Amino acid sequence: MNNKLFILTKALLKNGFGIKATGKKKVRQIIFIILISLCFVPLLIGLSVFISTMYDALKVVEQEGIILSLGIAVSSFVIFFFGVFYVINIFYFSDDVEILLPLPLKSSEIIGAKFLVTVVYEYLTELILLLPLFVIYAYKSGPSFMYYIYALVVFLLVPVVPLSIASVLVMIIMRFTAIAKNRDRFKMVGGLIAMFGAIGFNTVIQQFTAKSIDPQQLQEMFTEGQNSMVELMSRIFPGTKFAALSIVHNTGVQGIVNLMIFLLIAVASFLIFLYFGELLYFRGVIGISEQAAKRKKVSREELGKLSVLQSKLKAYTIKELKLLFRTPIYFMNCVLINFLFPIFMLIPLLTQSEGESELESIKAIMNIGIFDGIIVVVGFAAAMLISTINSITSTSISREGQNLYISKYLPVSYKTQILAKALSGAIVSFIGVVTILVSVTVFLELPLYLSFMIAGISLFGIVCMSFIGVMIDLFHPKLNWDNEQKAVKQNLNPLFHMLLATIFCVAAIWASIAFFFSALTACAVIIFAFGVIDFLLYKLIATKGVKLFSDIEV
Amino acid sequence: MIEVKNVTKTYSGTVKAVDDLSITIQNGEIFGFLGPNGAGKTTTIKMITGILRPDSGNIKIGGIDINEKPLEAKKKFGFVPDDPNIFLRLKGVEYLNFMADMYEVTDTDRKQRIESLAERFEMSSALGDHIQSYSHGMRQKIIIMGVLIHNPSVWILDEPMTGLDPKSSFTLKEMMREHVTKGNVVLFSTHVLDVAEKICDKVAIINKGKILFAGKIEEMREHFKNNQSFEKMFLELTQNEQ
Repeated sequence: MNNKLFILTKALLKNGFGIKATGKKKVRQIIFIILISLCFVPLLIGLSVFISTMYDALKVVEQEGIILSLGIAVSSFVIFFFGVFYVINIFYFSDDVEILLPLPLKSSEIIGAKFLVTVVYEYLTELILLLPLFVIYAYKSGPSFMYYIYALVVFLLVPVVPLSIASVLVMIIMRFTAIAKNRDRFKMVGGLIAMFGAIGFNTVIQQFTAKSIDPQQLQEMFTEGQNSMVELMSRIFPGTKFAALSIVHNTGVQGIVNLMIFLLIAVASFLIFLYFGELLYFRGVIGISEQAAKRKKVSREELGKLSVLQSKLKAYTIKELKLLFRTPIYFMNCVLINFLFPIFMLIPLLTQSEGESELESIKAIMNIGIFDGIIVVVGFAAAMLISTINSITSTSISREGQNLYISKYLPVSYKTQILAKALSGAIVSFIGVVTILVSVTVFLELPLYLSFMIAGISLFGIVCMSFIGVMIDLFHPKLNWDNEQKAVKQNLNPLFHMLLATIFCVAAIWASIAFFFSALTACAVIIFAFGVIDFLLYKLIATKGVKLFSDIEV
Repeated sequence: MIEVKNVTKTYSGTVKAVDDLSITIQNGEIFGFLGPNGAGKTTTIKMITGILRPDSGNIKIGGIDINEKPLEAKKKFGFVPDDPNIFLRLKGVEYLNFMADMYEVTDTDRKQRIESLAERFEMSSALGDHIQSYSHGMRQKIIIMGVLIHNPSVWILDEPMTGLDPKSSFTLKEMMREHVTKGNVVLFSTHVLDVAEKICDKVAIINKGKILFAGKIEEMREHFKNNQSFEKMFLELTQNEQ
């Protein structure tokens, strides 16, 4: 292996993990990391409980090593799955490709470095999946010092084999198919698959961890099931077994032999990957940054239809919506999320057979009548929350990035521009709320009149949250980004927005329980209260909002 | 007419990007704004167009103060920014109509202008595509078209020739000349001295936020009292300041 590979890897890593922030920014960055980590806590707890129950059950038959191979196999699979998408983005769609291609580098050096960068990213996946396993196993078995060394080596090497397989697969696809001709559409479809994969994976884990495990059943599953999932995955990802065995036998010769075999397999798969890369990469990647275009002439009739004077507010709102729907990152994070809620709702309904009685009782409560007031308010609160989760308004200024200056020279008042941003968010949110109401009405038998009431009053909440969202983003827009992902995903504003919405929701639901409103009273109170709030927020935007907007200089 | 009076802009409290700068651009003039990298050209243009607010001084476009009546002033000019990578996910024709909506151009006017501009810049066959699929030069052209769609009396162009093919660059120069003969104003910035020398009625040379020279190129020759090339004079002027 030569020097250039490591120089390049270092450069890519430095570039990828961003500039070192200082002062106030650093604080925000740290808060962000902590908040994001907190999101994984429930998953981690569930996993830990599951692992430790399994350990106890398997310990009885002295087969506790199986959970190591299971864990490594599952991690390998997940790494493979996400690896496919990482590889596509990092190898092919990353902006640095165009800079690297003209440099006097062999393709194996470019993809070698990119591969190592991806491995580092995959360590983050392992932190969630494999680390708890190793920690709990250590806690339960009280191993020797060598255990930690072996576990560390295994931890570092696990991504190599599945990533090699994923990379070769992707490189073959990119070389021989025209699948990536339309980059935006490809990203969107790929993102969809990844998202559903993640949801599926999450559901499986939740199901596993939620059910109480019968030790007897578990033992049978592993002692009898020679063709079980573990075996299958170990076969797909060679080396899994050796990795597990090396950790189990960490005190003996068998351990070091197994570790050596695992290491050899990892190195071999990396070399095979480099070999294929040398053959396939350049031919697949060259020309990928060019966009396919039809060069379609616009006919006179079409031009006539398109060329109609619209109000500035309408034209600007439509522009905002077009960008949201057409930019893959925004589409995935801001638009699609609105339509995922019904799916999230359906999953437990379809998978839980025991949950049927619960389902029946929910349906009964929906139709009993006396809870109508509370149901309406809960629906209203949910609508408010939904309009913050899509983070459209709370990133509406941030998404402009360095192009914000355009807003400054257009002869459109800042107020109109801000309102268009709030309006585009409100429209998408409302469509999301209606989708959910339809599915709740169908699957949970929410009475139709309640569903219409909720739809009506939700507008007041959505407008309120949309105004607040834009205001939050006006205070702290994140304009310095080089890819769109950073504008929406590495942005604290949506989190603040959701937090605020949660407070509103809790207050509203508390009030509905405390005063036990009827449905109509609840609607009247909400319309009055939020009508006033919306009006005040509108005034705030027209004064303070405009001032903030004009003070932003890029 | 563009009037810039005693304008100063300081970045982060210390660096004076533009220092007490004054220029007046008369109707019927193509005015070239020249200077080395980081001289303050773009900052000045950004203040004229309302993107940045000056710390002090005032700017009038067609007699209207950009900071007092921003919307009215902004309707007077069309601005081509130096980075054409904007609105990439809109189709060419969608972008043109968006701009037309922003500047309240009537249905018949915009239709006729889109057609004639597309023909002049040879963009007719690309209007239905996303701007993302355009080359650098085509992006530059669609941005210029979007600016001209409301037929502004004042054109402000930041490095407009970059990336244009010879034909389009010729067309643009021709259009600039046509525009000022009708009594309008064109202000553009450039690094390319040849371009400036050939088409500008007047130039201003700026360095470190200050105007070193403003006037006709012939006047500059007189000032140097010999028949030097424009390039040499430019270098001498900006070097002395270092």
